[in-house]
Amino acid sequence: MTDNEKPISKGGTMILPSSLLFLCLSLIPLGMLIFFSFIDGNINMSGEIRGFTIENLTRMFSSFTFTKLMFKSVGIGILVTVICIVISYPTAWGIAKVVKSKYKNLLMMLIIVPFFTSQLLLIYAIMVIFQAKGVIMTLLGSLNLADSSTSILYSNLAVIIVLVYEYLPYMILSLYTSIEGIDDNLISASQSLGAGRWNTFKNIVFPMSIPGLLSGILLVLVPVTGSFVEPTLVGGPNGMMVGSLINSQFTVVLNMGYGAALSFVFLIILSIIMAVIKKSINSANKSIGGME
Amino acid sequence: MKKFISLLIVVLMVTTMFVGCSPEEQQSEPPSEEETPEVEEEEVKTLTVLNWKGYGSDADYSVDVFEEMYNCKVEHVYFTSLEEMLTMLRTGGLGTIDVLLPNSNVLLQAWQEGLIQPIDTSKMENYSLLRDDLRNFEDAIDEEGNVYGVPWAWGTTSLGYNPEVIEEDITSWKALWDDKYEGKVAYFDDYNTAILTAALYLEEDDPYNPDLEKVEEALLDLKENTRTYWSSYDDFLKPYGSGEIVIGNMWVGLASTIYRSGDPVEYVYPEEGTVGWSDFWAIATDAPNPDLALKWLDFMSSEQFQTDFANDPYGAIPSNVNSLESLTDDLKKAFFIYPEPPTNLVMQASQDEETKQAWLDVWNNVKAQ
Repeated sequence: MTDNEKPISKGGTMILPSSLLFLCLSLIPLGMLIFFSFIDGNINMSGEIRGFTIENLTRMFSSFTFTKLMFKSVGIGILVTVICIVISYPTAWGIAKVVKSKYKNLLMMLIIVPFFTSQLLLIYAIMVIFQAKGVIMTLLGSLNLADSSTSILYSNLAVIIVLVYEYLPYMILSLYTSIEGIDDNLISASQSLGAGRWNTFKNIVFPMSIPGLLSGILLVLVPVTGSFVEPTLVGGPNGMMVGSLINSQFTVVLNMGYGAALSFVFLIILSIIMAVIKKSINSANKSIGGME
Repeated sequence: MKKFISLLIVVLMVTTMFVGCSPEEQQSEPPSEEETPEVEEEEVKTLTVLNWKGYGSDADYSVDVFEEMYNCKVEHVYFTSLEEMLTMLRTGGLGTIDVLLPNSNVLLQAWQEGLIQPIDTSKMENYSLLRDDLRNFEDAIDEEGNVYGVPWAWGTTSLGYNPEVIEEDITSWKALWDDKYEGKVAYFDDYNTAILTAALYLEEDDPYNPDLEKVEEALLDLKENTRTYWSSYDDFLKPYGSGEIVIGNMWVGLASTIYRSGDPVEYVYPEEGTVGWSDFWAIATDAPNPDLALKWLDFMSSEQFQTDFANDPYGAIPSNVNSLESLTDDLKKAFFIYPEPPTNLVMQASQDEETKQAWLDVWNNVKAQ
């Protein structure tokens, strides 16, 4: 017995492949991003760099454009994440604990189906549903509730709806895996000892779903904050988010240095936000008396 | 029995495989047989054309006709963006590519980088028949008078509106800024067009070098009226079709699409000037067949070809004056050049890096406000 538990090799050889992957796919690109944040303009065709500068970093704070877009994007990111959490908890709970097991797979299938479709098609599908003289507006128009030749498209509300629709499955799946793993006996025990629904939720369900919740937040908040396709397509004149600003540096003026610097600062801000969220969820958990 | 059938199928598949292969072998052999004797008589030259896919030059009415005329072969290499086109030349394209199709935005950059060579237009029969304003486009000619680009297809990004909703006659860019159309305006989400159009609206002396503060203010004003910034056919056509937008700046191609589908559209050239663009044929530096390349440019400029191209459902407006005039009224109406094409074009030209960045910053500021 004891022999078997010994590590196969004490050296680092066994973790070499995964370390290499980590190095190539994570550390080196990150290093490159930081490096390019300090170059002046774009690299030219022969791969030469014109020079180094910190102007990229000073420039983004010299006008309010970046700061404003950053605040707006984080705001939309948090709002979309909260909406996703509110919808996902009951859904994930329902699928994991309430629904008969023979329907479980069917329901999971229905949630996963949108992944088979390209993201762009999902956006266009939503646009067709919401557009003026589309299904919803015609219905509202015939009930005299709204003018069918207008729509809620081309507004920030439309951006939020599309983003929630797109990222909801990530949150449901993350919470589902955590909630699925909660032992039913724990819940029965809690109820038989007199805890109400709320106490059971805060003392059993919530603490045990924290890992899923955190990974759900990570999967939703980060891409939503950086999104630029949705704001461009359905955001109207006020839709722009920070992703569009970064995108335009790379695709329109080919200013790689400034684009990289914007991405770098964006990355740092998001990392800080994620750290704060993680910390506060854990301390909230402790303060309501949940278990670790 | 089953075994027999499956064996039969296998045999059939194997034979079809060989049959399928053999014609290819036959095809690949004869050219090599043909080539050798012809090298002795007269070498069949191959002209290599760098263009967008499906953009006139690779159609039957161009390749077949040209090959017949000059007893040569025409081969196409395709790019999907102008940046890619320039990159292909820089990285090994010189020496293999004969002719290419930069547009007015990148023409200057292409010859300043030495990617394309001067064109001896005196040897071209059709050059003098091309529209003056396009031929004399500043970026196409250097200080010594060398010509680097021969204008070909061209178009505009002008003012379009739905005449069923808007009954007045619109003649000025001011219409976009008119409070009447609040929430009904679409504006092209391209920093260059956006700022050039605003500069025309402000009637700046030099639209290429406008007062950017005034432009930013004007664009912010316009934003109050704007329903959406569009960037593709679909972006524009959907809200236009449903009546959410009734006016905006649009590509002539967009207006044509709406017109050809039978929906109401009016496309006008405002008195302050119209944003224009043009594609130019150019000869690559170190082109393997410079003589043939020049003939290609001449052929592309010819009335015959340009008329055929204009009649193609995916065609473009001719630059050859004779061809322009010979188009049927229906076609002219579809291209919105009836009765006369616009003359007050302000061509989109190339910009140095700093101007580009400054213009983009203005546009991003406007959108972020």
